[in-house]
Amino acid sequence: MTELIKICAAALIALIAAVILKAAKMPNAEIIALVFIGIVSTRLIFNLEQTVALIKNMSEETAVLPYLEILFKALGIALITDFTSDLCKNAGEGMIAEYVGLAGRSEIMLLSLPLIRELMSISTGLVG
Amino acid sequence: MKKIILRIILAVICICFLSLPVFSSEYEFGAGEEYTDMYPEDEMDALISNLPEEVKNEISDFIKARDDSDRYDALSDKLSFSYWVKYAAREVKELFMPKLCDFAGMLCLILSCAAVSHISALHSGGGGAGEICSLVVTLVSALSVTGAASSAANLVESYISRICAMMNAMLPVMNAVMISSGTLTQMSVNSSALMLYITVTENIFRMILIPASGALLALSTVSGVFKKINIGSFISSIKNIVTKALMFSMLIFSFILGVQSSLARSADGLASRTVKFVLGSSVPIVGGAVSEAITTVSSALSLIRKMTGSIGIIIILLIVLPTLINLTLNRALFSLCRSVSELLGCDEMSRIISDADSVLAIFAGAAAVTAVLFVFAVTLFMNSGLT
Repeated sequence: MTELIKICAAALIALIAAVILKAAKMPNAEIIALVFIGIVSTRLIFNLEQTVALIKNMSEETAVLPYLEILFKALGIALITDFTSDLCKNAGEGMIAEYVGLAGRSEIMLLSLPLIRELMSISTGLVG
Repeated sequence: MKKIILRIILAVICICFLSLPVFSSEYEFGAGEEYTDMYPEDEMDALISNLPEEVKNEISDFIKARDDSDRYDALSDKLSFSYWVKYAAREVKELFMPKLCDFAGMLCLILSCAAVSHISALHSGGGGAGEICSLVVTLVSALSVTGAASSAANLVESYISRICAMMNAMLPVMNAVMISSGTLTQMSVNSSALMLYITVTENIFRMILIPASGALLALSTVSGVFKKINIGSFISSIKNIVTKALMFSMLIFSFILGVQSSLARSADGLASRTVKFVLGSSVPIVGGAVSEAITTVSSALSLIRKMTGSIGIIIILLIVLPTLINLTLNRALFSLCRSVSELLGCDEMSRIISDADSVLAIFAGAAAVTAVLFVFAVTLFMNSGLT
């Protein structure tokens, strides 16, 4: 809760600073936003590491750990891709955003290939 | 004088003959050798060697029995309702913890899939990678469910191998007892029908049921990926067709076997009565006793027949119950997981689990029908004999 209040407070400060700089027609307004995003993302990654470690511990007793790893990797790729794509679109670079999205989708498809292969082997084993 | 001498000689001859000792004693056939009962020892040994280890452990007291009274005592324990309730409870207890672990794993997966689906749905407007995340969610859920269904299919395959092997080994036992009883017509009818049914059952399971289940599971995954395709009604149709086909085969087989056994029994009874009549009327003095002796031997063989039939039914139940309990627990697990996934809004996963549950229902029905038919055939064997 405290962490979230700090992040919200920092966001408000960055917002006010960016609005003031934009009003004063100074060129560093976008930099403030990027700096804020970088600091918060680093903080979030540290928090997520603990969450992922907890989920790994919980799922070690069952046989679903490999599936959970793939699932969360895919989620991570999707989030990073969408985040980067949104940043590029906000910066006015639609083409870069599209290619980032394409790269993310290809990466997730590659990640799901072992799953498809295993499904096919189970089905062909049953069929014949 | 001559008359007196003649009378004395006659008296002496009479005394000599009348004083001859006359006695009867029992002749002991094979005195000093062990008593050989009519129990089909060799055929039963061949049957027992074909049984799984867990079944052998359950009937170990019957295997170790040396005479008919010990065998009867061993059987009477297993013919009580409480024995079967305890056996089922023991099986459920053994399987409960592993199934609970499987349930925990699937629950973890459902929660993770639900979380990933919802988070990726929030970001689906960006690069589009959030939308393709749902493909991974569907594949992961399909893989976990298909893996569980595949292990159920392997269980059913192993069950059908064991029960068909057991029935193939039981046939010589039944034939030996029927030949000893003189019920040759019933023996030929019973063994031919049973051999045909064993072959048909094995082929249906190996070539149709299990491959069809693999195809249905694969189609279910496809329908999960391509959300516009819904094969739930297709799977229900297949399930109905398989159920009706099994019911039809059960009806035909039981009808044919029942009618043929009844007719064969009448034929054997007529032959037996003819033999007894011929013996009774043509063999002098002891014909009646021989005819009665045949009846006594038939009664003794009837006890052997009922004993071997009872142990056959017990073995069938010992093979089928663990499989049915395992499949029922799997279905309960799938049912719970489906409820949870519906609660969390994972519609694709819920549909895949529902389809896998339908496949397991087909397996359970087929396994139960097979066991019932074999029990019916063994019951007819028990009730065969000379009327």
